[in-house]
Amino acid sequence: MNLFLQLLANGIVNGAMYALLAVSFGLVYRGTRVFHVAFGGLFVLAAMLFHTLVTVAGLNWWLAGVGAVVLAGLAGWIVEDGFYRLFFVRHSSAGAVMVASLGLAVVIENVLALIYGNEIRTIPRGLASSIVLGSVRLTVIQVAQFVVSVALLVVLWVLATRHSTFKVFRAMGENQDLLRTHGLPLMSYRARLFALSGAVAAVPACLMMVDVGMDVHAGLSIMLIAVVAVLAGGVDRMGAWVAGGFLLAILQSLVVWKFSAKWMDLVAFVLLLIVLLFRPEGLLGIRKRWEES
Amino acid sequence: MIMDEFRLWLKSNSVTLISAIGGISLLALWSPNYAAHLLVMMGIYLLLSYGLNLTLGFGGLIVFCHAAFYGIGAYTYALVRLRGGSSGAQVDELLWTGDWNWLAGVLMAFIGGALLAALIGWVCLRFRGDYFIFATLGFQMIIFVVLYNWVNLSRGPFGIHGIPRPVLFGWEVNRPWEYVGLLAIVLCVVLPWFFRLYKSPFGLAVKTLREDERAAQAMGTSTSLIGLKAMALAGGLAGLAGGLYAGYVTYIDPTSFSLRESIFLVTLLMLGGSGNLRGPLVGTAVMLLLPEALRFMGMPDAVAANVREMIYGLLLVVLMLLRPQGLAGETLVK
Repeated sequence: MNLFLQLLANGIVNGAMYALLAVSFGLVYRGTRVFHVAFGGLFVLAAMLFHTLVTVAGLNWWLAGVGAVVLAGLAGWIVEDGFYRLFFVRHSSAGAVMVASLGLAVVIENVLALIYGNEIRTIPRGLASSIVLGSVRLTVIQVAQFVVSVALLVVLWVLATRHSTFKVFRAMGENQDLLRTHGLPLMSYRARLFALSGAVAAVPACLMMVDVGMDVHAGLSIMLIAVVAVLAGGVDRMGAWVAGGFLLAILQSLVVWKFSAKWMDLVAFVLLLIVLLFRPEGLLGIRKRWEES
Repeated sequence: MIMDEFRLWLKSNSVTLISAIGGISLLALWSPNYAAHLLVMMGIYLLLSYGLNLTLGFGGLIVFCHAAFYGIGAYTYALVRLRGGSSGAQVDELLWTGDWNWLAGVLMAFIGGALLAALIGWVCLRFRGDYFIFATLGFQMIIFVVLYNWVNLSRGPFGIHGIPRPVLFGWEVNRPWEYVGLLAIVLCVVLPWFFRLYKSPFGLAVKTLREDERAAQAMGTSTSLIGLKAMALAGGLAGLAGGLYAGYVTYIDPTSFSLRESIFLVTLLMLGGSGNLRGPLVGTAVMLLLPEALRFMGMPDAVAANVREMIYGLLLVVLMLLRPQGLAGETLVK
């Protein structure tokens, strides 16, 4: 039972970070209908920038984190402006954009591999002290991961319900061309959305880097986690993405408990498969008529 | 009839074929075994790419799990062919070994690939567009994780070694040039049949998946069933290729059948141009000779792997940008 509680706690901490990943991917997918596979590449890029800022530039963790978030946001902006935009103006099909995005992810991964090598990179630090709550023991880093992620989720939630920019993002997902007739700069909004997505993804990237480190090939499975959380939760609601993230993390944690850590990647995809087969609109999704989708 | 298709293929590909054969015979003068190795790998990739051509080229279904079918074929062949007691301790660790003859081995590899493809197709064909691509990508990861972690079945990361080479009517195929001969026989049996399939009513029905699925349904064609059949056939061909590969290298491990391999295959087909007879051949020739060219440029191995991957990624991006017809239209390399 103790182990169960411990793993549940671990699952919830990871869930907060998965939820951020899901929001980061979901905002782009809901807003532009771009299946942003290169998202995984940007995630690893942010983690590696953070690593450089800490170990080479010698900044403290918080400052380096802020730097990584800003740079990742910039990278998101560049990816939209210099890459997805080219496909958008050519009216490429969704499949073509996705395949190209996969190509970009491969390029980013291998450029990073040439710079940082193929081995896992960690932030040098001492042993983290831990906090004991009943039968659950969490390290200070895990607590920080949870607090930072939840705080950011709350901020994003408030913004998404209050701020007009997010309303535009939602409208963009329904009909991009109609945005222009309202005098709104479509390309600028697209770039803002990708920049925001990159910046949001950088936060869990830094948090995971501090905790267990990362290698340059982590991008695809991170992308898988984000996509599964969004699609299994339901594409049309931000709350559903967050719930999907938590559900996935807790499921993975329980699989580690009952079976073995090596089946973790399998869980994500099996969950998605079951949801897609029996409830294609997602667990908390909104069922639409055919002509609406 | 079937030979006509084959003759047409030979004719329409004469330039590529002659230049490929010319280049490789030059190589053969310098190092016969190296040339034979290249030819064997090209033969195996021809099977893979002509299979993928049916789903991706004709059906417009972007399948990112072709390497999974390939891998299942290779593992099926290995398990069916291995004999207890001969290859040391590893056989005792495996769930089951068959000790069947070569023909049964490749047949089972074909069936294994086809069954897996049918199963994956049954699930994935409920979706179209980016959902379909993502679902196949996910299946690719699943198969890889299973091969990597189900140690009783596949010995996981250790791989299976000592896989028996083909023995056909007492002809034991050992040397590289003999293997080239065997592959030539297999290709001459399989490819004409497949080319015939491309032009048959079935092949045309597969095309409707790409062109206008709803119209085909209105005409009473069951597009899901057609798609399923196409995937099963392509998977079977990939499984056959996997069986031939396992018999050639005699050692397999899951890393040969990862997502990288699937991306490589899709890039190969898109580069050559899909949906016709010429594209897969051109794609195979270019994509298999490119890494060799990099090797001759004297790039260190550690860097070369990453540079190669980068080139594939860039190729995908550029192709999607400039020739998205590679996805949909029938394009010839000009």
